[in-house]
Amino acid sequence: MSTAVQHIVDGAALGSFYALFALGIALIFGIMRLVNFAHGELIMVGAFAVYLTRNLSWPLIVLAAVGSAIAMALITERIAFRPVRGASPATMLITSFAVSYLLQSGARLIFTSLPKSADINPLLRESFIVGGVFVSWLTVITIGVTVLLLLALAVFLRGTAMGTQMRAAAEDFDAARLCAVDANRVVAVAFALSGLLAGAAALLIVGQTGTLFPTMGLTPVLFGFTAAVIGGMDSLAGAVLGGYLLGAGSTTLTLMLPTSVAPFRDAFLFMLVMVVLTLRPEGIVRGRGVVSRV
Amino acid sequence: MTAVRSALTPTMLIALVAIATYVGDNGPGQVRSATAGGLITLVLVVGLMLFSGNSGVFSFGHASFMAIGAYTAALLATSPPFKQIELPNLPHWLATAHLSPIPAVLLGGGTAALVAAVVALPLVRLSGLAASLATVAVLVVVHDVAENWDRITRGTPGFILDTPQPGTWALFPWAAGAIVIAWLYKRSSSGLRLIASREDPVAAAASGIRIRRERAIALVLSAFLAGVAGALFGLHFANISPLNFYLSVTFTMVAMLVVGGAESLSGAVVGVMVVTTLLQTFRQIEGGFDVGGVHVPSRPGLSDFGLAVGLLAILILRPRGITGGNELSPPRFRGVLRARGTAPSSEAS
Repeated sequence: MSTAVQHIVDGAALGSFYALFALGIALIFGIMRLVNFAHGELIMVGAFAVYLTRNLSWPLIVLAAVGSAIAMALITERIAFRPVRGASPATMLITSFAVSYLLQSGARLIFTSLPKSADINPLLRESFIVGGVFVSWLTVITIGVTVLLLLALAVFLRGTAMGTQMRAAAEDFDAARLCAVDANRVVAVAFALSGLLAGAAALLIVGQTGTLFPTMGLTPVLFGFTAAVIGGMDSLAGAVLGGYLLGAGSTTLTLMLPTSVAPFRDAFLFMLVMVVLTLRPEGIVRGRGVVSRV
Repeated sequence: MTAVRSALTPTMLIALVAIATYVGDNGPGQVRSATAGGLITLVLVVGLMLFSGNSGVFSFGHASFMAIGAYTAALLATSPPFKQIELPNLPHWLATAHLSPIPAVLLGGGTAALVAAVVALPLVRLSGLAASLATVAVLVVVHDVAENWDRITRGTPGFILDTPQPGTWALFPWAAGAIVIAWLYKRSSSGLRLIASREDPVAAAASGIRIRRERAIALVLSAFLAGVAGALFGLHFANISPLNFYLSVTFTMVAMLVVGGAESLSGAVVGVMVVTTLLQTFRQIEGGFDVGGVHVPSRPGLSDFGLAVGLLAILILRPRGITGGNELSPPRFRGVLRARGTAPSSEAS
């Protein structure tokens, strides 16, 4: 019994990570049809901000990580993504690929590719036992922060004028502009929000692993993207659902796969992405979808 | 007359590559090795253009076809005693196989084409963004398998080959062959139908074009070229590992194609030549050098940084690439103005 609960807790923690990554990607995709591969590099930028401020007190570290990720999100939007807005999705995809590579090699130029270590708070890695289940403080914080951010985002999107404008823009960008929605502002706010999510993810990742390096954004972006595809690229609820499903699937696969094929877990996961894309290109939660219409 | 004229483009491109190869081959050691690398990349990017340029579906998965070609050729061409040391757990038939380089390279391409035929089944059903995302999934799956299938691939560190290294001029015929194949495909009826579907999928389908079929044909051909490029890569650098066929090479080949102009063969060739030259220049700076007694320290990462900036600049300022999707052709003295007026479609003339 307690092992089952243990796996559920582990799966929920992993799923929270994936949901955070997926939400950052889906938020941008919904509004401007851009699959932002550079989202992982926003996480990397936040992590390096943690590294630079590692000797300060933790509220300052949090501020630095979130602030730098938001700033970088806004800079990339202004310099790279605004000029190609409205171009074909493939062009935008390549642009985000280029931005991702630019930030990665920039980090390599400044910090070299050697991993750095930063410890936000040793308490995070300590764990306690509840009813025979090991729970680390980080698990609690990860799940708590994710749920809190999800609720805050939902309140923002439903309850504020800006949120309504963003939902309108996601529904139909051109029609929203005709209704006097300021396109630049909506897109900038979306990028700022994705930067906020990336900053939070950076803090949680560094808190968990204690290491950071220029290519650290790759794994989060691949899994976030997978979760978003499975859940439905066009729906924020779908992205969150996809994140938790991926967390559950990943934990289950680790448990169920025989040891001889266990190392191929990621291969199985991405084959699943292919299957989902083929059978249901719009994902589990049907939005306007990645399927083009005539 | 049109047939003669149309053969001029590939002839000019091959001549251009021959000149670049001659110049590079007579340069200092680093330039010579960059030239050989450039010829291999040319096969790869021309292969990528054959699918992505003609279909309009951007593929991020061609590095995986490259990997399949590389591992196949490397396993077939390495001598059995050498394999015994590095890969003691190979199945018997693979452990004793020993082919000479050329059939090994062709079989590498063939295996990649075979895998592409399987991948094509789901892939061609998708369009636009969903298709591009699916190619990313292919890339990750193949990379994960290469990294973990220790018995065959020796995992993350990869393995070393003991085959004789092909010289620069031994690589040239492969590059020329790739240009010819891509040109013949582009002029074939399947190629023309695929280009029509790129321009307007709905109109093309309404005219009776089976887009999925044409896409599958292009994908298999293009994976063959990518597989050949991977095989040549393995033989030339005598050493392969999964990281050789992942994001870095994917980024480089996409950048080359976009910089040159994805919609034309000339764009692919020009993109490879321009980007290879730029990368080589950046690498010289990156390694550190002395100017008039002042030492400029080495800066690892500079060449990638420069390439990313260049790609972004092209995407923002000239999204159709240097060639703008046009083919290189000899100057036309009659009707120059008219040709200019119809620039985007002049490739079909």
